[in-house]
Amino acid sequence: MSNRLTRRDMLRLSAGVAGTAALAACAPAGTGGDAAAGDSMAGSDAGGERTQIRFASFDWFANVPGIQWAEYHQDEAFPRYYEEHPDVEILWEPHGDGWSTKVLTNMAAGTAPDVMSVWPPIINTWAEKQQLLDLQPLVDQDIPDADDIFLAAGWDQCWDQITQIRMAMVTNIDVTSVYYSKPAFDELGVAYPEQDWSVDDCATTACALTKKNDDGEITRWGGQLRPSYVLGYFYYVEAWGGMVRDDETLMNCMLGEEEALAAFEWIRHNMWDLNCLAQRNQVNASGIPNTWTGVLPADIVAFAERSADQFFDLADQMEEGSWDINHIPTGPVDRVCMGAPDQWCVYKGVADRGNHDEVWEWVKWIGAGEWYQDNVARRSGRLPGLASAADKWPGFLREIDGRLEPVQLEVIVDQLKTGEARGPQLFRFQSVAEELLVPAMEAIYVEGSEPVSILGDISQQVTEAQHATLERMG
Amino acid sequence: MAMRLARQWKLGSSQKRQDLITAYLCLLPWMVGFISFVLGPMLFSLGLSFFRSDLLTSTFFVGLDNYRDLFSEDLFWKSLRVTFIYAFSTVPLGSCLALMIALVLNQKLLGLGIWRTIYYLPTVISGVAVSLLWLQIFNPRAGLLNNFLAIFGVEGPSWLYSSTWALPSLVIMSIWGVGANMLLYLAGLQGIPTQLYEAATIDGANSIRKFWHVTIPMLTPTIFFNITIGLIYAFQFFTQAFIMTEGGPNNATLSMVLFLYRKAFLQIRFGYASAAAWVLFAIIISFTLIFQYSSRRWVYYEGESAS
Repeated sequence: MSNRLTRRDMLRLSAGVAGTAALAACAPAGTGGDAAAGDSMAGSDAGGERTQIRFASFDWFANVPGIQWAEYHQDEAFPRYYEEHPDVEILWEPHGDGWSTKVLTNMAAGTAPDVMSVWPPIINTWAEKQQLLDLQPLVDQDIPDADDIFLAAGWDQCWDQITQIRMAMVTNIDVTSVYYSKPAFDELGVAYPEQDWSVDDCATTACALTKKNDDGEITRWGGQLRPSYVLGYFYYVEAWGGMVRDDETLMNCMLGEEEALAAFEWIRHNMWDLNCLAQRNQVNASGIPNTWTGVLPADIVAFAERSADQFFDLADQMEEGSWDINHIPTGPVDRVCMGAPDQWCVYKGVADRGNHDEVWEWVKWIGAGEWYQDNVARRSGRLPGLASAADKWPGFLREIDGRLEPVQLEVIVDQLKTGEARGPQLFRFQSVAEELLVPAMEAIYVEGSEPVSILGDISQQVTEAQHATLERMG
Repeated sequence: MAMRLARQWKLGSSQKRQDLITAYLCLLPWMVGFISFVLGPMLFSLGLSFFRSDLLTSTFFVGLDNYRDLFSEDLFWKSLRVTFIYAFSTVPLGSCLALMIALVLNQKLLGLGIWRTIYYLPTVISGVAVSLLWLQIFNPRAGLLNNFLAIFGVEGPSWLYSSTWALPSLVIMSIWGVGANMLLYLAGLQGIPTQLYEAATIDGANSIRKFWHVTIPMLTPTIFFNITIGLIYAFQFFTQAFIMTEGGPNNATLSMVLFLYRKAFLQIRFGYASAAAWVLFAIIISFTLIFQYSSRRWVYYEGESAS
């Protein structure tokens, strides 16, 4: 018999392969362990013994050197959970770049993961589009003391005012604080910032710390406000007693009002007229490899508003005891900074997938369980949403890295507990507002080409756009 | 098509029928892929453009409202302007540069293969990596470009951080990809029969006249191809603007694709974004057809009779 493959054989083989592939594609999902499988997957595995939960999380989440968030789950968190819940299998799905776009398309197809990491305002959009399971009835039933055990800064942002649902549980809360370099202050004999320093103190200190060379070029700026996102300046509006938008409809923009304009002008003046606060582009143009955690070690600025993700990098790059943390300066009316949570939400589809109860047990375990929440601090270095775990956070960090001993990490916990750290005042249709506000804020602060007074007109346009969007939605 | 297929089937021998089956079976995977992943979604998107839809909650038929709203939105016109400036700057610039490099690399140079590889190499690097690299090059203070300009006493602009210079920066950056066009021009140059140059030499033509009267006419099919494909790609530019400037500052680099991406995935207005996508498609197809039509007057294919 000849071994030669004839064309007929080839055609038969091709047809066989194509047929098998087609059958495999048409077969009901959920019979394997493929985490990316569709809606019908969820309930149980092939033998019907273990209920599967698709868990989509940020894989870059851990700040602690050497810790991979995915590995931590596979090696520690999941096995521990299985000890108590042997009938469940968690399927890890990493949220990579473009995760929100991917999840959105999954939602349109009905194939979104059961549990997903997310943050505002994306979660608010998902809630508006009715894609999330309301967790409030489950919280009422199983965690009746939730309002007391979670930090309000994070927990309050898990409630959606528009749809009146509990959108999520808190993973962790990020807080903006002022990080400062002690040698920069010592060099010029400037006193370190006091805990209750004001915006005037901040401006004076920034100007005192700004250094120039013989040609009059600035070689170090005194300070830098949180640079990555121009809308981050909105916290200063609250510090001046103003509002970003009204509290009832979330649609009437108030950035054109006196308090808001005064706050914006304070920033603009110190950034562009005096230039004691570094402009974003000035820092970007410095050529340092990392403009987020690298500004203090490179002596580009003496103090900088940053997130609670700096500790290990600063400990590596600066001498022990040469840097510290302080509160945001107090404005004429209030002291306010960003306290933004990462969250876990549940896709509404679990109601039909048959794993609703198991999903809630898992979310409860990671959101309210002490072991997991402690590990949010211990393994990721981030501030947990559970108040008891947040209290332990400074100690955990110092256990991980002894060089953090002299750093006042407690300031950050204090910012959370005193209400200084708050969620952003989001518009009902945040992306619609941003489409108008971001270019305007860039013109004022990134290019310095427009006065803050343009926000009067822009504010009006934002309000109109919000109402037009609502009208369009019917 | 179906009738032609039936006639072929009826008239053909058994061998021919088998050949026909084989041919269509070979075509089948591509056709299935094309219909499922290109034509199907395109038609779906065309239909969607007549609906107000977020694909999640509600879908209403709105007729041409999405198109009407689109044409009355200032940001759409701004994105269209940005896209046109980008397309009609990068394509002529890229084509001319690619042709110049190809002309040089068509000479008998030492290490010719190495030079050709070097010029083509940037083309195989991913758009994201290229964007990150150019972010450093355009850095106003520490970047390569401004430091180079400083040698001549020129103070460089803020490039990507200036609404005046951000779009020109992306145009300059597009030069990075001329290697692919260069390779096509090189192939075109090498396909020009040497006897044409010999005849021109005998007729007393100098190098410039040979270039204008032999090289350029013989290269017109390649020029046509490069410009057509270049325009199609340029109208769809997205990665650079998305990664390097996010459409800013002050929407100075907001391309049409970035505009429709924002509408679809940030504002979750898929019907509206589909309308924008179809307007972009109409623009691209119009330019392609106009260019195709004009090619009868200036593109010379070997074997065609001169008229």
